[in-house]
Amino acid sequence: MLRNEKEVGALTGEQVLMQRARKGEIAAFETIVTAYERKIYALALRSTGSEADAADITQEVFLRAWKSMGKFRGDSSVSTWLYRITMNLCVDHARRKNIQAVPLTDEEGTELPLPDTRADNLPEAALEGRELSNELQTALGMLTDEHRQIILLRDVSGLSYQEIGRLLTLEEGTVKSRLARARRNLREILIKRGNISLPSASKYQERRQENG
Amino acid sequence: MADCEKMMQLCEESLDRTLTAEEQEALDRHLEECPECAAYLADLRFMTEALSGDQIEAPADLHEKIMAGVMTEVHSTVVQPHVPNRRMPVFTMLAAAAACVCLVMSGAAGDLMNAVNFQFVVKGSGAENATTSSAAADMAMDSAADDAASGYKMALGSGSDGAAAETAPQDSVANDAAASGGAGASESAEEYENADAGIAAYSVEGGDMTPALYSRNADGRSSAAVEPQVSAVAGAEAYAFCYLAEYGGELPEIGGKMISVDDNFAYYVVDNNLSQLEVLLDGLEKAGYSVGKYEELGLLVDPNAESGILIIRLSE
Repeated sequence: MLRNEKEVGALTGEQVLMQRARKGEIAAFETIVTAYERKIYALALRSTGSEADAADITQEVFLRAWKSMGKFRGDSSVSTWLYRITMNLCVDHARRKNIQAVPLTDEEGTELPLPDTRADNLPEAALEGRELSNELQTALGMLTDEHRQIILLRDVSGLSYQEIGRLLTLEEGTVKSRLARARRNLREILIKRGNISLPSASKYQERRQENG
Repeated sequence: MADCEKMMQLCEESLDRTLTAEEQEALDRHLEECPECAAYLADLRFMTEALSGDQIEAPADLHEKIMAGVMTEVHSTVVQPHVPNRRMPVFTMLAAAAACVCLVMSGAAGDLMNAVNFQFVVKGSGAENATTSSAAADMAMDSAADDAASGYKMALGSGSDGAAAETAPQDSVANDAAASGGAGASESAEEYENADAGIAAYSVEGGDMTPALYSRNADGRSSAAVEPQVSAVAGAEAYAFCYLAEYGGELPEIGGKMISVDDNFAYYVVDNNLSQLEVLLDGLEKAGYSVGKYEELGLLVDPNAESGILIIRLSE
């Protein structure tokens, strides 16, 4: 679905919008903001695990985009350009967070998006969804930067191998193999933690429980 | 199984839908007989779907916050010292001119009632003209009306410093310095909206954008060049506007009638047509002229008059 939206974006002349925005036409820039703000936010949210940080990063992405519009080269796509800014900010954010050296526990780094009282009223499926996404968030945080980045770009943002390659200046083949390794690692982590049941993991969990 | 490694790679690619038909077939065959790879693919699917950003909703106020941030940036960078300050658009200037009528008339009559009457008239016509709805123009009208009501006597067509200082706020409220600095800075006030009066003006060479000291303003009116004498050459008793264009290069086509010319100035009468006027003034500015509204007319300013005056300063 994301990929379809992007194709539409290219057809409606993002380059033209950029040209107009570069001349100071704020309405043109706002169109770009509207097209990408949710995607950028989603990427930042999955990357940071915090809604507040994700909102801050999204704002910062577009502010930087506006300021550096003169440097935007017509040969890269608007999405590549915006995602690159986003990834840089997310990496910065992760480094700052590491420097603060908060010891990770199972619940760490996964701020609950809603107050507990309201969580009680959530339908079970939604609650499960949130636990799942919290667990995924934690597991993502245990990957290397490289692996986390490539999974986010592919699975959260839905970029193609080619786009990821352009973004990270990698050969398409490298994108493919790095993505495969990253996914395998993520799966390993999830299976070891055993907090959510992957389709294949029930056996592992049963075994763990028997042993424990 | 020997080719599990290869098949796991195909699992990846099947998620990304980049498999050829043959590859997909090979994978399907393998998955049927290899539960490990089938489990692997199921897990991958699960992870990918759980990670997908599709369901993530951005906060409702995110868009506004983004744009507010950008707008702050826009406003903090929009005042660039190397961009010449332009005269106000004609519409705005005429609103200010309407306020001027009030002052001139009340001064001429020296009658408070008169001032109040005209204030009414002026507000009406001002509102029509001020399509740009400049706050500055509105404020100027208010302040002009206040001045009139409090009994200021404006000398008609006087070049005195006092008169100039009082007229300044009508044109550029932003430029307080022009008014408080006295010394006839009304021209600079309207020509250079953003300038600190008499300091940041622009070089007299046509088309040169470099800021330069505008000696006339820095020194006050004492060193000023000869002033145009509009009342001496004018045929009608009221004009809609009067602009002075100075220090330019070759004159563009002026679609008006030259009514007088002397060593220093050429005087033209042009139709009171706002779009024509805007084109004309733009043309002059392109030819390097600095264009401003000229206040000390010695004549009635009436927004409804048939024509206005354009003065070209020929040379120093």
